Amino acid sequence: MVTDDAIVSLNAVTRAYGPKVAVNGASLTLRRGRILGLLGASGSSKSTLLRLIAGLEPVDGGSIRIDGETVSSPGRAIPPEVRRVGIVFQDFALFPHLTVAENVGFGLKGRPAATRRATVQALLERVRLADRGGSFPHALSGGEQQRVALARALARDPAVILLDEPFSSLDGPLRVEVRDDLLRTLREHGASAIVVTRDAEDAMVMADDMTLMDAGCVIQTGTPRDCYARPTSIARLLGPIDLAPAQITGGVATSILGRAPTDLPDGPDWIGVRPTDLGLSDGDGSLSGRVISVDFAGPFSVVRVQTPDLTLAVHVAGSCPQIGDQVCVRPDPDRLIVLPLA
Amino acid sequence: MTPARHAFRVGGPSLLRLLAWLAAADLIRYALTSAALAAIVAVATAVLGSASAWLVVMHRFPGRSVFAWALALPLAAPAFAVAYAYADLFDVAGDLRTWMRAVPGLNWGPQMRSLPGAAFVLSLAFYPYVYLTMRAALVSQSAQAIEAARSLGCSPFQALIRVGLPLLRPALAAGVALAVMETLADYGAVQFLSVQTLTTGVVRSWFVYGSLESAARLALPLLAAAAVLLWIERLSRHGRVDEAARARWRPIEPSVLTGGRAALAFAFCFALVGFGLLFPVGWLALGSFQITPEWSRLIRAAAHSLGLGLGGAIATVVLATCLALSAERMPITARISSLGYATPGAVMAIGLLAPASLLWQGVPGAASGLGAGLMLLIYAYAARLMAAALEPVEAGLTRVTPSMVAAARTLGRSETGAALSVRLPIASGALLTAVLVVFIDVVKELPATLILRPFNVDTLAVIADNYARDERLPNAGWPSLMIVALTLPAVIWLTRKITASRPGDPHGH
Repeated sequence: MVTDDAIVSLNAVTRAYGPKVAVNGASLTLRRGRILGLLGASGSSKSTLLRLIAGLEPVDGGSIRIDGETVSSPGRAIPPEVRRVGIVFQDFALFPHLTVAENVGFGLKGRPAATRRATVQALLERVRLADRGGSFPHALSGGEQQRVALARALARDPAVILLDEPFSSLDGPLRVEVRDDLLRTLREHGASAIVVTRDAEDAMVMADDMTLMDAGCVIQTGTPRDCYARPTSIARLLGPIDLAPAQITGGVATSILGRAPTDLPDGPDWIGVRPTDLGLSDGDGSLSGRVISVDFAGPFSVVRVQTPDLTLAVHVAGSCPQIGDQVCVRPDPDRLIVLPLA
Repeated sequence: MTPARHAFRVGGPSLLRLLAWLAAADLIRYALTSAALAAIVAVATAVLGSASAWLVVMHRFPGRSVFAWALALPLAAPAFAVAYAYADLFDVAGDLRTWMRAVPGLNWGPQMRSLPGAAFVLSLAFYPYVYLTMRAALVSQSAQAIEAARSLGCSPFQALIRVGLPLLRPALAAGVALAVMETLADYGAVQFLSVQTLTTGVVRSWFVYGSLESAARLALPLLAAAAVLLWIERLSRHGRVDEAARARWRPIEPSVLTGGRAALAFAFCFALVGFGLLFPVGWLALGSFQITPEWSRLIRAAAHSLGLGLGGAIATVVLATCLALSAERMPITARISSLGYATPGAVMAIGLLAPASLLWQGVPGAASGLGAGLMLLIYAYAARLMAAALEPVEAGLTRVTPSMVAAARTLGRSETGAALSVRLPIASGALLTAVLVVFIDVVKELPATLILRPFNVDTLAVIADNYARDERLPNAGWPSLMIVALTLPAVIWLTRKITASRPGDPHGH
């Protein structure tokens, strides 16, 4: 799907290391001024995809276009230094021998000193580090280092900013704070960005659009809301799903969880439901069973119910049944998801 | 029937056969002496180096922080200088023995000009190699492995035997391999102490008899031994787990020594530094200060040593840096170029001189001989010391993460630009370390420098050797002391830097 306002587009990109295919026919589009979340489990080659976009590795098949120009195709690779791609690395990759200001100004080599100073100062102010320009990176906290890395990547006014697992080294409240900060800076700058992450919440909070990857393949693209509500695979990248075997006949999938319309062809498949879309009640029904575990998880509890056919995890906010109680699980009929077998 | 009689009986070119047999006999004799010397030095350096490292790292006693770096200082003294000092001290006609003879029952002294004497001198000169590797291994060991062993039911001693020692074995092997390599390559000390090793045999065959064949024959077992030692040294790094690189590294708490134990620990460490450096250097100084040296010759030689040292060091480190920077592209080249490390300087010199002399004969107007000789010598240094330079340079470059290079690329630098603006500046401390390591070795190096003998370019090591051959020890003392004066600041700087850095310290060595 190449649209007019595409700033980065990948078309069936393939990258292999010997017999191991790391990226397998991946296609995606980043639109100008938007943030694309690239979500996948570790080992799904998300970072490889970033390196391909940055030109740090060649592609073996397909092509990459940045701002209308083909920058990578088999046998053709525009070197990274002329690609107008900025990267914020997972480990920030700040240069330890340069001060914060020198790090930010690193990519401005060749511009007049005055311009350079002004640009660096403006960027440091934007990331609220105006007074730390003379410090060395090791004197900064993790969050501050990340802001320096972002300012450094923005300095050259790149067509696209790539962020590789930007929060993996941060925990808890700091993580949320840094994430909000980063998002605000990117929005203020009007930057087009790709954020690689394996954290579903990070991806859904930050991204305008999402691309889900599994084992080197793109498995779904769409808005975070769509991807969450209508997953297309059982990879469970955006959170847990309870699954029940189903059968499709004439455009309707039927399972013990209920019935749902689908475009998939006739045959066996799955019907899934998010644990938040399951309710519990007393009494009998096709999904009655005994509570086998109750795990408190803060905002909700995970209640596992063993029915005659399957075990269902239900997220319950508020009061919970006890282990051993007889309950009936009631799926929200509008929230059933039909998923292909593999 | 002995082989010699056999050779005569067969007749024909019997003289040649006799010579061949003599050469073979020499080869076996030299090889056995070298092997015995190497074995004794291996055991002695292993014990001295490990014990001192264990004392300094695992215990607290007065002077510990000074010994931590001072124990490596004997590296500043060339082995031949230590040999001069001890041979002179225990000389039968020397002051000490003359005085001792006057005291009844004291007419005894060790015979330094013997295999045990040479082993004593070389062990004192080379134990710092084991000390440094063992110290690094002990310091980088995390307390956690030992604590895990304790929690699994080991006593402190059992934990040391079952967990500590196996983790240290690679470091011990590497340090001893270095000490043995230096022992096999040594020429000045063993030659002065009249111990016939393969290396003295190589030099004699070439310079005295001019026989390339017999020199080569003696050099072959040396090269084989060198290859084996290098393999051992590399093997011990293979799969080395750098505990210190892990986030959870925590130092082992040293135990405090008091009273008699502290005094013993102090005495042991002091004895090593004393017998390895202070005493021999002091003794040489005492003797030398009684004569007035040929200053002009000494100063010229010092300038040559300094120039060759710096030239050799810079050339070697520049080459090593280029190799290390391109190592991703050609990993094999860097490994191959390290092979020269264990090659004794004498073997390297002859291996280069033979083809070079052919070239000089072939090309008329070889008046450029000196220049070519210098180039050849610096090439010999570079080939011999490439591994010594590569190691710190590579270690320095590993501080540059792949993402830093990638960041520089996406920020507009070409591959070369990224190397110049990011990789080299970050590794600059390591580059200086490499320069000093090579400098120290070159200034102490004797046999390779003999390449320049035909051109009358003397270095301090060469004139020390010349004087020592003439038994003019006070005269030999002066250039030896000047070598120590040149290398000592570099050694002090290096050892202080190495011992000051703690594992996990991003700004350390």
